[in-house]
Amino acid sequence: MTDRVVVTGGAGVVGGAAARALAASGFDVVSVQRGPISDEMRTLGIQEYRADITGGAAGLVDALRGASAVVHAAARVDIIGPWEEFERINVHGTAAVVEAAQIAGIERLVMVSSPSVAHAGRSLVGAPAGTADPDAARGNYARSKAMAELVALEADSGDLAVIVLRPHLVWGPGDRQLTERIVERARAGRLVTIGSGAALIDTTYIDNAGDAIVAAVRRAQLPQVRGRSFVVSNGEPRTVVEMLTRIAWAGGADGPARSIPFPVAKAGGRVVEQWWERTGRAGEPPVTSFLAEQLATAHWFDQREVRTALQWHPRVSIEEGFGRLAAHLGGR
Amino acid sequence: MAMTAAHLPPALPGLRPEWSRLVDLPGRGTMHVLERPAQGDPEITVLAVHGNPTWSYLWRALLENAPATWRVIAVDQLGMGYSSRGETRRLADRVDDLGALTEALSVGGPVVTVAHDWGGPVSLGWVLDHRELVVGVVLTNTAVHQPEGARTPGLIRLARSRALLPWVTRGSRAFVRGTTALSRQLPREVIDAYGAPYATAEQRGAVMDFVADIPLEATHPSAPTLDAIAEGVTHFDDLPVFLAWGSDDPVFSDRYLRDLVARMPHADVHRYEGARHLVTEDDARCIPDIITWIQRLRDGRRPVPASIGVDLPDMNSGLRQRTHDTGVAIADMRSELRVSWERLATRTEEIASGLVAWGVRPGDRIALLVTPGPDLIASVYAAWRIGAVVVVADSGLGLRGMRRALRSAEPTHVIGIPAGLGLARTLEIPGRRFLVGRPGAAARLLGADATLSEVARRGREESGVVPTTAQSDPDADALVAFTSGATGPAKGVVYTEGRLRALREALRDAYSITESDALVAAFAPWAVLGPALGIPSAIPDMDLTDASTLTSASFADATAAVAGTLMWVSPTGLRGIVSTADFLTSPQRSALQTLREILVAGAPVPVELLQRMSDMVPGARCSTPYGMTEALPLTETDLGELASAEGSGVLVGRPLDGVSIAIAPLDSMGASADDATEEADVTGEIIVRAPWMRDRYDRRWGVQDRADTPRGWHRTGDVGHLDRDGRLWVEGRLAHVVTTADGPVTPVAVELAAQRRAGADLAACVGIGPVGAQAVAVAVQLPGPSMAIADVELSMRVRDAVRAATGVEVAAVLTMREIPVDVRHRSKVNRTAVAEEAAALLSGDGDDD
Repeated sequence: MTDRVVVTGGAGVVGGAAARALAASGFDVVSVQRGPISDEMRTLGIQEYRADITGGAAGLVDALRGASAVVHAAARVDIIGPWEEFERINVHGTAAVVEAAQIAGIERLVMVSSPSVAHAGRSLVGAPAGTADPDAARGNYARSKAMAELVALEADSGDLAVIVLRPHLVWGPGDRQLTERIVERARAGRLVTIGSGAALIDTTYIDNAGDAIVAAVRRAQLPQVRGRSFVVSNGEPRTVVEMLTRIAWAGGADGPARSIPFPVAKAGGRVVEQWWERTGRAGEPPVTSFLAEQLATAHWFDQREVRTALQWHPRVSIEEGFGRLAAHLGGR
Repeated sequence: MAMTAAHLPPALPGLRPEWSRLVDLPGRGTMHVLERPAQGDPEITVLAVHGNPTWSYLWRALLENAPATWRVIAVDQLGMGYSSRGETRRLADRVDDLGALTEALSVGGPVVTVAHDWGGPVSLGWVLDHRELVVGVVLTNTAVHQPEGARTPGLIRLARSRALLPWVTRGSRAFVRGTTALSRQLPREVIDAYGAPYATAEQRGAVMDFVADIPLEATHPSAPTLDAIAEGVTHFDDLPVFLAWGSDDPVFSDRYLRDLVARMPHADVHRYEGARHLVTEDDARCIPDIITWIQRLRDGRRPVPASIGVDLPDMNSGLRQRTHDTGVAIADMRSELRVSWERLATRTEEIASGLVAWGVRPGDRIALLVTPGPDLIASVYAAWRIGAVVVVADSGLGLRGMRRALRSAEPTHVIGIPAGLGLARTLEIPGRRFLVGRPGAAARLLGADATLSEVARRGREESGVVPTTAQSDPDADALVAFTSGATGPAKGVVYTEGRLRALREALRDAYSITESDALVAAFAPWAVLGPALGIPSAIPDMDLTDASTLTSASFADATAAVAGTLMWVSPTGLRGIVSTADFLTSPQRSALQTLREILVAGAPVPVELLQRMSDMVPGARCSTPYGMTEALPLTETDLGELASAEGSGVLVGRPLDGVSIAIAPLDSMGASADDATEEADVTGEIIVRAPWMRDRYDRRWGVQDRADTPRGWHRTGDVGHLDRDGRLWVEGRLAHVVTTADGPVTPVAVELAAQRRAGADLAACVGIGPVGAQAVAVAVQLPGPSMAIADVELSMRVRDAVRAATGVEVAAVLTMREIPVDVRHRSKVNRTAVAEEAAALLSGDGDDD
């Protein structure tokens, strides 16, 4: 019998990458999601289980029974929106997955999180992962993920080993969150940098995030790994302007057309956030103060610990990633 | 005064509560002490005594970092810190208090005392009472005696003025605050911690008493005690002493250091450049150095280096042999002056006698602030003739660097041009001042005791004061030179007479110098060596403080003047010659053809530059040595080899005969191992050994101790590797190694690949972020803003080129209009400055300003 792993949020970027990487590594993969899985995933032998994590633990136990590990990637990842939504999906949803895992006797739980749970404002230069801190986290998303991390890590004991991975800025073919938005804006001539664009940021090519999760599934029970949070990235920081330009180029468009001074963007972002929320507009505003900060200050992380702990190293270099993205999108 | 009980300190940064204890000393009071017990029987007990108005908090880093086998005790003197307040304690009481404490704590030997400020006399008094237990003494910015002529430290004087004393010391927090203000920059919470036990006037009573107890007058009740201590330490001959000194202490200035060294000439000294009164706070190396120094007491002292150069003729022998030679010894093309051997030898002898007549003694240090020329050369050999030590601080250090260098070397006398004497005056150099210039009102204004000519005249009159048979001591100091200070304050480097002799022979061997050679000295420091080698030298017409003023014509004229065969020049001077080559007349051009060897020294030389020089003088070999102020020359390579060299870094060639070179490998954090290997293709710190390397650093015990590992070798601070043919390649400075998650990266190979691809003259490879997890940034020198992100195309090109050449992944490529370089050579990249600027830009933090 092959080892079975259940993935929540398989329809998302990271969840999807995890499901594909696990399947490619010989695991028996079940994707728990609300809608049907894609044909591509089906051809990889990934099974589908329809459920909603916000429906409580009971609805998930059946899906989990017989599996040895759960990868919990389902989340609401918007940069704006009402707190109740984030709390319901990210915090309570995680609690439901944890509870179901305990009931079903799962050995290993890998939770997908975000570096923003431990860091607020200011630049991060070769930073360690840090501990999730809901009080300091900026914005509803980061705060809810910080709480979710604490819920998950709390459950690390005895039979259930819990580990948290925080992939930083995942991009690549098929990513609609970041990659396609950049390309769309660039094609429309609306891509801008905030400030000088000189801040160094760490990013993660999508396949590397998937590989890191496979490594985490395999090693979650080791004493030096369990109960800990790790930031995952390519470990190849680049300036913001270079990242934006290269992704735009891969999409056949030009790089950022101009730059907006950081204080303007930050203040503007704050106004836009309030206006967006007050008017109840759906979707995503063009800029938020959180996003302005993310795009103007350095965000890169010390990758030594995670590489040693997971015995994992990014397989796809950032250069190779740009090549693959260009092949996918038809740019240069 | 009412007795106030001792108590335990509150939680304070850096202080562990488990260290604190109260010790009852019957009839005296209760002492608060910090104690870090040893694991098992103490191998050594360290007894640390604070001054006024600090407390044992001063020694927290010592307790924290001392080896586990040591017992460390830091006291709060009675009335101070968290000890009880009570009756006024005089110095003798304090010495006895300390004795009572060590008895109560059953302190046995071996003991090392460590003290600061007025804790110095207290600890030394205890040492004199317990001499049999003590194996070492450490003192930091303190005094045992008011040196003659020294003014009382300003703060003490202020505090001691009858009217102000009670107010300054007890009534207000001024004195307590004043002391922490005597540090360079302390974090707020540390300042507060120092002030914590002195919040109220009552708590500060002893602060006042302590100041009042400083015996400024002979009639003071504590004067006999202090005098006995000051006398007692002069008998410490067999007791190791370490003086760890802040150079910029307005209270205990260098005068007090001088006084202590005079009393304990065998003391190891480290003068922490820029550190103020609280030297242990101001320089992070101070406490680790103290710990290392104590460890060395057990591991064995630095062995006395074997005598070098005993069998070699002394430095003045070349001059002596040619006393009756009427041929040209020095051709100074700037003054059109030709000095014969006979004249130079006579003048040297006259100055030597004159200096003795003026009171200069063997071992005295003479600063020579004279531009290279006959006066400088005669002064140098005159100083060596009488066993004095030559201190050379060249203008390449910049004015600030020269001042610092001279202050640290503490010359006793000066020979200088007017600007030099002006400098000596502001630095309060204590001894004689001799002017190279005319006598008269200006000379008197500069405080000159005599002009150099007057010195020589007096020497003529009193000839015979220096016996002609006087032999120089090969183990005695002869020269203090200074490093360029490109990576910190300039450090004094001491050469003995014997090592200079060995240097002379090394040059003779390496360049096959015979009597028929003649030197063109366009690299100022070398102008002095001609007489020692017994060959004529010519100094070209140029501004020696600015090598770029050297032209091909002045170089040719100098060569013609002595039919030069050897030429020594700096890379900057070489650039000047090459760029003016077209202006040479044809006789000038042919005059150059007597040259057989052109030696370019001081900094790395681009191959293209050497090639153009070689084209001017096809018959001469163009070579470049590797070395530094501490050891030169070490290796050598020539144009032919350089032109075909391909490898990681800059090729500097094979070791010269008598030189050993090894590599101390780097660890993942960029630190070099203690042990070294001669294996090929291992990158690490270059360590060297040669009879003609420096004897030691001047008053930098800590630097000395690190540079001397393994013993007898010199750690260069450069990184590089040996190739399979035994040739050395330099890859940059150890302090500039970038430590990425994939291991250490040395800068030079990255820079060469980057600048070549970007079409730039200069590049700087630096690390961004925390040690061990750094990202690599490369700045290339290109027109444009002072610093900016390179455009994406250029970034990609440079990144690909660097990756192809070195395998290193560059995170960011920057352009800089002007990459900062050192003052002396204008070629050593200041990567530290580039790194700071790049880190700020790449953090994005600058954007919200």
